[in-house]
Amino acid sequence: MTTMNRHRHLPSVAAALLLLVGVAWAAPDTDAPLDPAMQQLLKQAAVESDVAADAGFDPLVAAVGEPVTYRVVITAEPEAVDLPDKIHSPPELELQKGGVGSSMVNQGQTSRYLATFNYRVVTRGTGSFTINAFTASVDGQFVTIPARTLTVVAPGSPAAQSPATLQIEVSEGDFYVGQAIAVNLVVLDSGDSSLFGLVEPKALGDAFLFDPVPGSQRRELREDQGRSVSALMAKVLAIPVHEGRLTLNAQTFMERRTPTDPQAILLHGYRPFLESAPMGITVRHLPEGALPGFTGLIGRFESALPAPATREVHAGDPLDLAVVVRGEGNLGRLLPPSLGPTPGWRVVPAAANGSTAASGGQNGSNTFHFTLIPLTPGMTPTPKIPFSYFDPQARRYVDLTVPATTILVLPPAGGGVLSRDTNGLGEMAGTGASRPAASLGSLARQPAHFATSLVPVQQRAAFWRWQFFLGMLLAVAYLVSRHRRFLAAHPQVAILARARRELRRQDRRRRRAAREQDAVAFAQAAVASLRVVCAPHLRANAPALVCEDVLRLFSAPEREGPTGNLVRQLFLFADEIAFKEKAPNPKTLWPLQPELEKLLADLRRRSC
Amino acid sequence: MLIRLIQFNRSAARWLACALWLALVDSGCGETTTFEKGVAAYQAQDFPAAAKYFGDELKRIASAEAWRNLGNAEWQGGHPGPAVLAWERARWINPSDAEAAASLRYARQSAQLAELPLSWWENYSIWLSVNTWTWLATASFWLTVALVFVLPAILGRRRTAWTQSLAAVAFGVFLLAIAGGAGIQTRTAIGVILSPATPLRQTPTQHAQILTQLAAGELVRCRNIRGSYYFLHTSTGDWGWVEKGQLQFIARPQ
Repeated sequence: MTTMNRHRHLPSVAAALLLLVGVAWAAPDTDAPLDPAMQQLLKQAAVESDVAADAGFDPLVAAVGEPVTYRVVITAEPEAVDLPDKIHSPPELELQKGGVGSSMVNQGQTSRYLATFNYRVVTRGTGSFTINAFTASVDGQFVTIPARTLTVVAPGSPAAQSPATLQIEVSEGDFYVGQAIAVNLVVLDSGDSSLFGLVEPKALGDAFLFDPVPGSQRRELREDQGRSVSALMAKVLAIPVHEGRLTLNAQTFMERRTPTDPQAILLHGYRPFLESAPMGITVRHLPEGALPGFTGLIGRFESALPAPATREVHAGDPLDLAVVVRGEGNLGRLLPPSLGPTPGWRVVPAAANGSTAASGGQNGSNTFHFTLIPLTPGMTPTPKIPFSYFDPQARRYVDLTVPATTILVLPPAGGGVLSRDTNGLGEMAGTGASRPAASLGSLARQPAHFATSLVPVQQRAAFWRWQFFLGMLLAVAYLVSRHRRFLAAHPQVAILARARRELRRQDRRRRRAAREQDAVAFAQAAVASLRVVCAPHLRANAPALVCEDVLRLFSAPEREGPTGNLVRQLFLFADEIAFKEKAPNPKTLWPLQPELEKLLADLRRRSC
Repeated sequence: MLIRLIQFNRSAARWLACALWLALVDSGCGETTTFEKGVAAYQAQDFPAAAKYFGDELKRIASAEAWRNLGNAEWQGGHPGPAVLAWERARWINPSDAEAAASLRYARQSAQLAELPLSWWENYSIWLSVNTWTWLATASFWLTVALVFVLPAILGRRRTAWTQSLAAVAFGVFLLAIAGGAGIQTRTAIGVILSPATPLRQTPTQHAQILTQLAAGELVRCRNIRGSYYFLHTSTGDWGWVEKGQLQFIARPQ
């Protein structure tokens, strides 16, 4: 599998290489000026690189046991910040790590990240307690977090301040999987009316889908510990995706008046990052006994009435049947129901994305459209559309079947006869297949189409190995063929090569004979060497050459000189061995060896 | 002489028939195969057993029909994800399997699943079975090479009008098959969501925000892999990360 995976990427790698070549070829001149719009964009997107940091307690004066938050704020992305695992604090203050928030702050034409690290502080005594300055690392660059002091007073002291807190509010009642639960995120003002608004309020939870409710933020008065305080609220719809005890969390940034206390965080664009305490809610599965046409709609809805686009339609022409659902619930995620057999009609299933929510929240209406095609002329009722929802308060399913409405179907506009196929859903849905989609395909009785593997052959390493092997084979065959054609065009090359080979063989034979003092073998090898080296020049077969043939290759002075004598003596010696009964005296042969080697070297140089 | 020859041939035929029968008996002919057991279990409405038999059959030898039957058994057993996967695999092996196509249409209509949009070359690649495109491309390529290169350059044959025409046709077939092969290549990134309500996450981490939930049997296209997560493009145009165990590729058995 691993090998296959590796080779699976071969085409991708090849494509990437081609792309790289293309990009390199098409790359613009780097000196060319950038488009002004692009320059402006780049300028705006520039992120300030100078790192600043600050820290602060919220509130600055707190009563013992009251919630206090210590925040470290750094102008960097949270992932780039490396804070100490444990921040040293006085024993009266215990720091527990909280959440991390990140936001972008615009400053002139530049933007920068602002990371907020929350620590929950548990106070254990009264007095002023200071967390000393410490350093944090931001992408290898060290930044100093300044020292900050918290004043802790006795409970009930008028000097104690209340921090802004984020709370989650959920209505009471039973909750079901798929239900849109309205979650209110509430921030109580600390009492100094410094709270302006909530920025990016959001609920969190693994087992939920969340739908924001735009424009839901509002201010109202709340009772808190016997006093009336201003509160900001934002609404989110949480949709649980499974049953059980599920946990909801929330977080938000808070827009507030800039504080003046030097102990407060004074970074430009800083907004306090608030976290809620986790809240558990129990979610149940929908009960058994769903009515026909139930597609997950939960809430309280009014009857859905069909609204055909026209009351008259030609057979074969499409009729748009809109169904409007009004009420309170998960309307934003409404799935239209599907129809069963519809005699006399062809039906294109309503598309889920064709519906439009009239309200961003729970209340409002939603519309889905069916396309119906009548097949027979006459007064024809539209098919009933089974539809139902679940009422969580009544804990029961409620039937909301869309009733039939009668339409006058006129004969086909162009004449002709329409098919009475009532199940052409696949065809209508654009799949192009004519088989009805009303049932499963039949069972096969015998296997007929076999496959060794699902992996396509082009993704198997063996396939490419064989292609490579075939390519190499062709390349070798081509090289061999080219060489053969060359030799055919230049036969002298082959003759010389053969002569060189034979000469090397005779050289070995001659030297071996000399080593073993075998005069007969030496003489025969010497004569054979002379014949071989001369044969290519005479275009003759080497064994057929006689002494005179060999001597013809030499100039007249050479023939008459020592060279000629040497050749004659060698041939004479060889002839005597071949034709005389008594072997010649070998002592006459060995003195000739040095001259013979010189002669052969000279001839080799001339010939080859 | 002729009579002896006929007698000899009759005797040889008898021996051959015996040997063939013995070979068939030895190879288990006559026994009920796992495929047939699966069909019997399906007809007896024992769908889990049928799925097991068809699964065993597929471990022995894969066939489009076994995948199709496995899909039916899984569907009847209430497992739409594995059912869609099995039907898609049946169509992967045999694109002209109308029964598997009908089952897929039925399942998509029943489960309200959207079709995954395919590019033109992917739709084109469905015309022939998976490996046919590759073998067609390979054969036409080497035929082109043989006619244009091997015949004149290696074998020393002269180029003639008909070899040149054949080479042009072969090269045309090669180009057409390459498009099909490209479609097959990109279709290998298509997978099927196995579990119902599979969370599609924003980042490849366990605690990442859930963007939406994918239905079992939904076709998705894998664009990237990081750790134990696949980065997917869904049929509805959503992008996100899904854990590896919740997805199986049509063309990659796991």
